[in-house]
Amino acid sequence: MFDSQTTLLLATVLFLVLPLMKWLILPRQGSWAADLWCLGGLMAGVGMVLLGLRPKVPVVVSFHVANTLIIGCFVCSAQSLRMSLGKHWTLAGWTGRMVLALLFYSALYEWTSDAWRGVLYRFTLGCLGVYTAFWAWRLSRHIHSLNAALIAGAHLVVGLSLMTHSVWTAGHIVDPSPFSNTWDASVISLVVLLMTVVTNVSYVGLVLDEAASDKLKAQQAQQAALQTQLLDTQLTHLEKRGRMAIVSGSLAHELNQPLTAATMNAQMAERQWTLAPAANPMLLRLLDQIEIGVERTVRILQRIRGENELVAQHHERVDLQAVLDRALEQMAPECHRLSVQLIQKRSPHPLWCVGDGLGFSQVVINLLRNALQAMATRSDRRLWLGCHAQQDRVMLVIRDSGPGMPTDVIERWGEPFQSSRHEGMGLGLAISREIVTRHQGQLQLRNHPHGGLEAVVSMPMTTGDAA
Amino acid sequence: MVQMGADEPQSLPQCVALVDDEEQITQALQTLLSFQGVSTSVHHSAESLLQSLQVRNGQLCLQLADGTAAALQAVVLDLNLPGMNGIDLVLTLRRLQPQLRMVMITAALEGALQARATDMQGVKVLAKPFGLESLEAALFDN
Repeated sequence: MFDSQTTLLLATVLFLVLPLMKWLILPRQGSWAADLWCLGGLMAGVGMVLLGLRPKVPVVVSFHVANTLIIGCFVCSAQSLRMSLGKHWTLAGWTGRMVLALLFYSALYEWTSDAWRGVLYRFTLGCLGVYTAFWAWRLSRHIHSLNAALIAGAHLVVGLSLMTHSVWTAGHIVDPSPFSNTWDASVISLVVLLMTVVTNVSYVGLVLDEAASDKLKAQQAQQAALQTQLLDTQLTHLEKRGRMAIVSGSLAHELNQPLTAATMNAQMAERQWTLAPAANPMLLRLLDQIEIGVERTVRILQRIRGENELVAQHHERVDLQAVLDRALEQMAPECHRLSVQLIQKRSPHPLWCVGDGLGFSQVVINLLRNALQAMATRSDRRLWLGCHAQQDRVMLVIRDSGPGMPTDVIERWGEPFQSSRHEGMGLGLAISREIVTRHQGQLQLRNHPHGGLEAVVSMPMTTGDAA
Repeated sequence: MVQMGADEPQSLPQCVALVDDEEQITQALQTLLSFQGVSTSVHHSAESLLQSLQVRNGQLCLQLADGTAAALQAVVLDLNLPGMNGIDLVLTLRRLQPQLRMVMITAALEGALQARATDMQGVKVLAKPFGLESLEAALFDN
């Protein structure tokens, strides 16, 4: 059997030395969590010294102060772990718990016998040990740290030992001092010693794990920010290109009509002249010049259109669910600003289409932007998002709680020459419809029977492995 | 939409229907065909043409501006029409008279619609602006 006094003395020394050493050697990261953990260790150390001095110091110090310090050790440890998880108690939470603990402690002291007080005290300590173990386990899951798992294990063993011991000795008068030399005190002291070593060593590892995890997270965040920025730039560029494509297309369309008539008329005039040559031979040359001018204008228009192609030639396999997620990330600040309630009904699987991924992003962002704009002045702002497979097509549904569209507008929406006349019906919808149509898809708008505008994109679905 | 007339055994003069919402285009087409001695019937929408159609002696006919009836020989139509579009008009006319010659004229930026028109069998597609020769070839060559 171990000599419990020696074991506990050793544990006490370790409790006093290790936290101080940790506090001195751990990298200072402006984190209160490590400071709190070290403080907890010191509190346990001092508490145990006071317990050991029981015959020599007044009972207030050797019992009340010592017990409070030991309980404080567990509380600080648990709070330190919660801090690392970003779930620390608020000041009100702290105060409330302290008041409750003091009331409980006073009640215990006033109304229970020595035997039951010892039992309840050990049981409480055991509960705190398990509670600390729980938070250490959560931290280990969160940052995938073996060291946190070891801390959880050590606290669980101590907690369960204390609880078992308290239940086992319930109602019996046992020497309340852990420094007694009974066999169960020896076991507990050994467990405490092991816990001291394991938790203190593991905590150093945990801090290093946290630092590594923070660094990794920072790198990932930086990478994500870069990707978002890149996507944003690409989309801005595409938006401009889309507008140029629609504008130059509209221009070409509109100009083609008079140019066609001019070409035909010039050619007919030429034929007429050939049939009955006019008095002035200059006429034929002038007609030729008109034709050359028209031809040149047509070529310029074709070149402008060619330079402003709407959809990239490169096609790839694209998961529309991922496209929607990325677009939502992009629009998150706006959604947050407008306090929009998102109601999503999504397939749990990826939904693959083949096409221009950035073009798809542009469509989804355009539709989301329209929906948010439609709701901007409303008090009820809800956005329904659906993405699912329907037979061999991927259906993407975006519905807002805005005012919907006037009937005459909805009938002719998306036509570049019509839409620009209506406020709020910019080129975005015309661009979106053109992109979707060029992928053999359909984009439909309708006023939902329960209010708001509903946009439905239907795209041909491809199987998971088709490229 | 198509009115059924009494059967008339004698052969009717022929005409070409022009369907385009652009006045300038229909005017130029009308002038060109009048030089060729071909009668024309001008419409600015698909619905207008379909309402004017009659069936005589199993043949689609139109009433010309001078009040006489003429057998429909060919249709020159725009792809992007207000209301019913050019493709739907082609499909409707083909059901009424499968051998009818049809020339579709398209402006830029009709994207997928233009691709569908190009894929249609038996319809010649001309992109605006086009020359007289190509239109004449599409209309009159076998």
